[in-house]
Amino acid sequence: MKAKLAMRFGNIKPLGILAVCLTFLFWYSLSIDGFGVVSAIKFPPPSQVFAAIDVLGLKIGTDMLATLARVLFGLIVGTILGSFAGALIVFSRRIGEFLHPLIESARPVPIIAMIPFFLMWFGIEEPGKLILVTLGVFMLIVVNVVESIRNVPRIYINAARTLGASKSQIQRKIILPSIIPNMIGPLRVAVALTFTLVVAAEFMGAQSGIGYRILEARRLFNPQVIFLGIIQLGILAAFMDALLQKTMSRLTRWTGR
Amino acid sequence: MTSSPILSFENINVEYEVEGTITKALSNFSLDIFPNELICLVGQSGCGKSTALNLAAGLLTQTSGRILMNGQPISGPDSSRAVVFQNDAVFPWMRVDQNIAFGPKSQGKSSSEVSALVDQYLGLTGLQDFRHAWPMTLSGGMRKRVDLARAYAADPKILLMDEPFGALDFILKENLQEQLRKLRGIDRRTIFFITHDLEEALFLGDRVVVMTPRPGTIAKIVDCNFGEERSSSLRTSSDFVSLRRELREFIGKIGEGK
Repeated sequence: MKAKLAMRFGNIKPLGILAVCLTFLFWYSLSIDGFGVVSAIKFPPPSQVFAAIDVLGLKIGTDMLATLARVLFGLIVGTILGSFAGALIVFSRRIGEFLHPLIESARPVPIIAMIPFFLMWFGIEEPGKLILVTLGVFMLIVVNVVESIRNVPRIYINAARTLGASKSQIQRKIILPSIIPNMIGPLRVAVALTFTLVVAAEFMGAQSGIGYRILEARRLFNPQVIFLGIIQLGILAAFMDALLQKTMSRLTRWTGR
Repeated sequence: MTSSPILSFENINVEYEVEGTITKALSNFSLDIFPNELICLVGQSGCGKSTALNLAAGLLTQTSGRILMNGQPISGPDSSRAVVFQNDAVFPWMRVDQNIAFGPKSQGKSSSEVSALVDQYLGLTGLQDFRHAWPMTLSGGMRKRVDLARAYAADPKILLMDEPFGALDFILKENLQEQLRKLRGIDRRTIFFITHDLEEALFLGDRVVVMTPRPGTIAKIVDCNFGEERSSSLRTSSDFVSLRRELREFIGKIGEGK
């Protein structure tokens, strides 16, 4: 029970708390004179960053919501589409042969390289950002779903067949649940990737969102707002990761991890 | 046996290729399995006995020959021939009762029929108290019972068992053998049982089929007239021991001949 509780809070130990305190201390001392490397004016102390909360006011909440909405959209739609595509690739030989070279050659291309295209096609409108993020998640999920399905132990599928299950019953009741534990890692990677892509998309032009606020703060020379943005992103990302882990651990209760 | 066979292997040959060399797994393998019998196929590792079972299950296809189920050639796996594998095949993401319900549910039985079957086989395998347990919380022996219950609940015409107790320790193995034999007092289903353990074959089987080493073919078929009800004392009875010794010597001889 104790171990379970510790897991829920991300297994934070005294040493971990020490590390956080040391980071703040380092940050604070850096902001006094920049250790002669960074000019102190470009390195706001924690106090100024917290003061920026007051200056931004409501925008903090609306920025976080705008960014979170884009993250959730990309994550959910990208995962669903990617899972379907992955399943189609494995279950239909023709579709697999058709899509394989396309996906394999597109996969290693950094999706960020496509931002100029997205700008040309969609301007700074919302669809461009959402498609960019969704595409990034999609590519990651497809490959991992294909791999996971191919790794489902043959014995489960054979047992199901001799018990009278049809193809679609095997797909829904054997393959789908048995790949879920293997998808936890890729989904956590997807969360991190989504934040990167959303911020990049917001950099390329937006009217709201943490990325937009950070870019604006750079133009207005407001380093404390940039810092605040990074902290906001950290909070959101930690929240999303915790949410994902909680959902996944419910879905994989049977593994006992 | 006067009735017609439920499952027949007719002159089966199986060859497969591994890295360029062709291996013959089964050679002129012919066997009739009759309704309601428990027939054990015993042979050394690699003699092709699992190949025979996988052919019967429809999970493999023969190079030549025919396999008939009630006179019809089989094509692919279905629930008339459920399998209990040696390795753990209990679905870990389903609770015990969901595992047992999998067969009847997949076959489209009504929910009342499904739950009746689940209750029946939970009872017969002594798993009532573990109905809602996750498989990972059960011991290997218990999971094997789930596996058996699940196969019975699929209501196959013939149950195919591929060394189901092979991975268990000997006490557990003997217990399960006795329970399986006891279950036959209630459910006399045809069982095709593969094992490399001669004693297990003699204890369980109504008939025991001895296979030669690879390429597997049938060397001898023995009737085991030890009665319907068999308890652990049978293992030390003089009839049992002498038949076991006789077959042990026979297997030794066919091994040398190869």
